[in-house]
Amino acid sequence: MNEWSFFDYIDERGTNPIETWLMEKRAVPVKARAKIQRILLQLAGTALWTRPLASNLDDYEGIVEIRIRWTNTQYRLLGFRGPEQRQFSLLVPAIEQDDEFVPPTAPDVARNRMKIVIADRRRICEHRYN
Amino acid sequence: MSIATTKHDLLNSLKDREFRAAWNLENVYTTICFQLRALREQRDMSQGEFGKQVKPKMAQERISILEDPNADSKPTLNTLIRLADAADVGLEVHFVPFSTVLSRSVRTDMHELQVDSFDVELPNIEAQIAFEAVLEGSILGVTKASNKLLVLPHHPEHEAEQASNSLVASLRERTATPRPCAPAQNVSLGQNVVPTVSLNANAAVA
Repeated sequence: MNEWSFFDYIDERGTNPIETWLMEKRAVPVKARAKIQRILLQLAGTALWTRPLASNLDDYEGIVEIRIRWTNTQYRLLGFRGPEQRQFSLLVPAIEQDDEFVPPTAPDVARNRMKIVIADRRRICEHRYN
Repeated sequence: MSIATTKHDLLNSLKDREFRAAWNLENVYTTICFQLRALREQRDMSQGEFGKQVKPKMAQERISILEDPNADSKPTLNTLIRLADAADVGLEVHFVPFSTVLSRSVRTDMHELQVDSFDVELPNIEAQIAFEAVLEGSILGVTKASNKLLVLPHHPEHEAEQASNSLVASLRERTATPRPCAPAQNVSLGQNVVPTVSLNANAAVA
């Protein structure tokens, strides 16, 4: 049994921004998607996530960033542990350039989405390893 | 999410040749990174302590890099052999069908990555061989050695024991204390008898 189950945020229109991002080849090339999905699968089986692969985001309580590097691109998946135990909700995809998130609003968006998910658990769906 | 659903999703992606090639790469190296950590933690060692077990010694920073799937540096086969020796586990490198890759890719629990050292698993190996020997009819004094059928001297007590309910226990003891008629060190039971431990239990290293 896995330690964690991943879920994706669903926006107000019912679309899945995580899946959309992962399947958009200009944003995430196929090889990068393979790496991201492989690492997510491994993290699902790992109780304790450690740096540098995952870390809590300073100044954004509860928000965790998963850090995946492919070639020279630093991919970041922001999410939180919840809403239920052993669940991790992926909220915002981003990249990191020069120690800054792109888009720069990613942490704020993640924090807002976390509140939305906690208030309404229908705003997540199971992450698919496509 | 169920394992079947995860496998179904992955299979869809694996139908894309580019994804397949990338998955091979990431699957191997991600597994190695996490399995190295699992082996080290199973032995209750810090990265520095584990590095000291490697011959020649590896710095803590090097172990840290080897456990990081985002690191540029990837371990060579020689490095993997050194790590296997440090953990006293076996290492297998072989090509496998994608069905195997698929099945193993979804089993990512850290406990599945743990591997006992040789000394720890030795009693189990011996018990397994004893059990296999029963299945192969070794109790009758027939064993295979170097692909030749070797008929051993008949021992009446073997037949008496054969009727005993403590057959396997008896065999285990016999394996631990070889008899003159069949010295354990000279008996080859074939390559399929002893389970092979793989450092990379999750996939082949291509």
